[in-house]
Amino acid sequence: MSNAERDLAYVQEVVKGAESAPSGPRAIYIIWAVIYFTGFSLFDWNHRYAGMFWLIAGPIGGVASFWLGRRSALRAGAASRRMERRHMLHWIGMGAAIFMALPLLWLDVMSSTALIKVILLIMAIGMFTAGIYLVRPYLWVGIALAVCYLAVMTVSALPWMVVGALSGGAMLLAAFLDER
Amino acid sequence: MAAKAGKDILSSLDGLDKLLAPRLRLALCVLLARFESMSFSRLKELTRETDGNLGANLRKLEVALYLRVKKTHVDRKPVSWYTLTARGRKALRRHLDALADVIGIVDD
Repeated sequence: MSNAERDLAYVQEVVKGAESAPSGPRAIYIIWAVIYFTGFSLFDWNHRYAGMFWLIAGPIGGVASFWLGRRSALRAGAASRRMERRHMLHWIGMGAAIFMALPLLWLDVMSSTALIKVILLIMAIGMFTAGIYLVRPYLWVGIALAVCYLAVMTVSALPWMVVGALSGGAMLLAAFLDER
Repeated sequence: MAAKAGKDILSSLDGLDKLLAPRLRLALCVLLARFESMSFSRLKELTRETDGNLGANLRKLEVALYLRVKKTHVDRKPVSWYTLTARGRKALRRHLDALADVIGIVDD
């Protein structure tokens, strides 16, 4: 191996080391696992309370995730505004798509049960694309949410409880799949 | 033919930046081009260099205006953040292009 090749291998190894760092603290995954489990399970009991839970817990979870992610990046000594912007655009985009679906309920275009399924599908796509472009383990959460979308149409007893357990479990699994 | 290849190599070598020739400085610039901003301790951890050697190399890049340093506090501890400047980014691109040319000529 020549000197130039050795030097390039060294640069490659250094960059690889930086890339293999975890993408965020485990607390973010745990927060969302709790929100998913509680938020989805509530739909089996009361759609109104479940909707209110998501309206409050969703934005709070988002802000908490942003704060925890930034604090973790600063502590780890690697901060990227570019990456932060990319994350924000993605999650705000997904949140906006969900809010834009809400008038379908107010305008009586679809029932609340059908709308929740549409939102579940939006979340599945959002998590899947986040897995491709931002945080790899979210890919599996996206797939789990897509499975949930299918499960909710086939499971008859407490379907949203199943969705909550599956999606919350996938989020916890993602926490352990994130490279550490 | 051989004379032309020799000429090509020489012109590509002209594009190489002497400041980025040491592998540590090249690695530091590549890291900062990719990750935007990194602390001294993170750079030390990734490059596995001593404080003195890393500091001296960062200083050289800083003096050449390839890097910018910003001192802040994280958890009440002082932290030095390094960022690649537009000049540093341009120099790195030119250096990497020249390296690619040299490798291409040698491979041909």
